[in-house]
Amino acid sequence: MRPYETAFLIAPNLPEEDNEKLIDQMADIVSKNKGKMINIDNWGKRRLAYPIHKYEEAYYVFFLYEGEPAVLSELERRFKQTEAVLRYLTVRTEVKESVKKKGRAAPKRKKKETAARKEPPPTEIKPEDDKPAGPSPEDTGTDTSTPEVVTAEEKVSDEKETTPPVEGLQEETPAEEEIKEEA
Amino acid sequence: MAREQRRDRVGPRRYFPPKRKVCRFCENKVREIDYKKVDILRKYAPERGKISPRRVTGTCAYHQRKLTTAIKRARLLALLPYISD
Repeated sequence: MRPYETAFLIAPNLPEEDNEKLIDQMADIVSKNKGKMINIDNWGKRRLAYPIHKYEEAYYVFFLYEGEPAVLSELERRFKQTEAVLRYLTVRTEVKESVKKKGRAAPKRKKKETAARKEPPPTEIKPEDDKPAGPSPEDTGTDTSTPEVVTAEEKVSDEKETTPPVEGLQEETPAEEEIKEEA
Repeated sequence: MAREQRRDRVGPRRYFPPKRKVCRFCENKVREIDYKKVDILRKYAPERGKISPRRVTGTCAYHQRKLTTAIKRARLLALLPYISD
């Protein structure tokens, strides 16, 4: 279920009754497709900023509802069919909570990446001396999988320890050279 | 030198740095900009209906992005003009 907001414009030459009928029809579509109508906002007749199909004004209606994307496609299909609807617009009204803070965690990541590039992964040491006579292939499969995980963890720890500070210096030197050239 | 000269001046004439513009949306702690609030949007698309740049309005980058989408949505629904003279 996602919250949506659909706005649409109805032609001004439509009589009031038909207008309300049309709005009810559209609201029905939402409820039939298991959508939950939250609010219907009817602005009434309003002057357009520019003429659409030679109409200077139109009825503005806003639906606020929750539903699956199927509701949306059905609603838009109906909008296309009915000629009285001049324009429509659907917007997802979800508010994102996550807020990024400036200058955090970004430099740390870079360091890790460079370290990973510099240091080639150490050769894997597989313990060969456990269960020399494995009768079934299933048993050997399970045994080999566990030591591999351990080695992977060791790799990560090694890289962290050997983060060379040389990388930063190298980045600074070309900038200094440029300054000298300018001078 | 400069300081002495300033002291010699009569009256409260001092150098006023250009007033720092602050993003109005940040000030009011608005996160999302609604395309239906035409009165607000119109301030950022004056006269010819062009979206005014950040350097004029002082809007922050985040809100300028939100603002442009809001204005463009409003234009589609004929709440704001694409062009006007």
